[in-house]
Amino acid sequence: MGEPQQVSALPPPPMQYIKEYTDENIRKGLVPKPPPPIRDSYMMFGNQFQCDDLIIRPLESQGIERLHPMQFDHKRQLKKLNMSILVNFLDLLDILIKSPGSIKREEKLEDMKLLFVHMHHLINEYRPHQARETLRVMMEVQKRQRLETAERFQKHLDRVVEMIQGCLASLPDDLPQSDVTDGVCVGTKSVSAGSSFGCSSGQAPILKTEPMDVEDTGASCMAAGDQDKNVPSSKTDKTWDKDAAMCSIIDEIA
Amino acid sequence: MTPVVMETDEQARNRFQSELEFVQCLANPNYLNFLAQRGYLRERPFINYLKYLLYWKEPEYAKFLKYPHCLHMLELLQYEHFRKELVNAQCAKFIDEQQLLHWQHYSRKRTRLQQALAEQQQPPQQPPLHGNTTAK
Repeated sequence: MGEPQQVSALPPPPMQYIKEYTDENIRKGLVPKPPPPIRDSYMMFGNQFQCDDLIIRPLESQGIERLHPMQFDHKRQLKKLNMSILVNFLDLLDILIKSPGSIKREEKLEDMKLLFVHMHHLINEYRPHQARETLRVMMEVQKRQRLETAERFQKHLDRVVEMIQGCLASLPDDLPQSDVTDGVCVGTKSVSAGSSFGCSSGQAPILKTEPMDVEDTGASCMAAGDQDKNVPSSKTDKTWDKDAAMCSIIDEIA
Repeated sequence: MTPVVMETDEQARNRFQSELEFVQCLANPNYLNFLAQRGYLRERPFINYLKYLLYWKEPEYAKFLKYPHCLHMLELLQYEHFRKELVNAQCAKFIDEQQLLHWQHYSRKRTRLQQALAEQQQPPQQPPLHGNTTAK
């Protein structure tokens, strides 16, 4: 980490492949596709690998004597190993006191080494379990985050709907009739060409049976304002004025 | 320049292994610094190649990776800003340190996460321990 940069020791990137990936080749579709995954054995950083390699290789395959039975409880076995290591360490101390030069010392060291290897191996056998557990926790966290995000969106949506309704309700009833409807006339005509009901406020409003144009914000506002109010025409006129005003406001914004 | 002819099996194998090694080299921030300083990260074909290498994120390829940090770096390398910053040795050093700190603290952080999660779940039931054979 702290050592001076020795960049020359690092391998160069595979230029023989990289040089194919020019903008032009990509445009022409001449670049090679990813190679198919290897199914048997392959080399990686100077080591031989097998595709069906077990993640944790059994001790026997590594030429190490196995001390525990085929069926065993990891926890108990680990505790037993720990105890054995302690006892062996005491034995080793004994040997060191009584006859430090004897061959027994070497044997004890070998025994202890084997015990440590076993312990390490048993811990390693938990690795896949650990990996699965890590994934599980990660996914739970992601799930929670997504639910929270969805909830927040819902809240925002509710608030926006509320705001729009508030705006609609708070629009004054006595808006200057003529110029507002004129403005709307232009606005609505561009939105929904066929229904020019916006211009003639005196006419009986037939807009309820008309299919509402929901593509435009203004139009959907009108829809929201009108659909939940099944009221006689005099009152509809009033709401209609509000809608018209709303539309002209939105037209101005847009 | 050369038109792409169909690769032989042997060539495809070689490419697979080369790219497997190269993509994993990207996990090393010092290597990224090296690439940046040599000017590779400014070359168009190289940038295109980095994009192409994203196929390593596919499950059937990702399972070959022994240094999974490389995928994260690969994603970051798609951004020009990140590629430019890497020229700076300080930047590489910072990433290097963060990786080490991650390894140092991750298990503790995960335990904390797990606890928070367990507290959130209303019935505080103990999840069954998988993979732990209780047979004696």
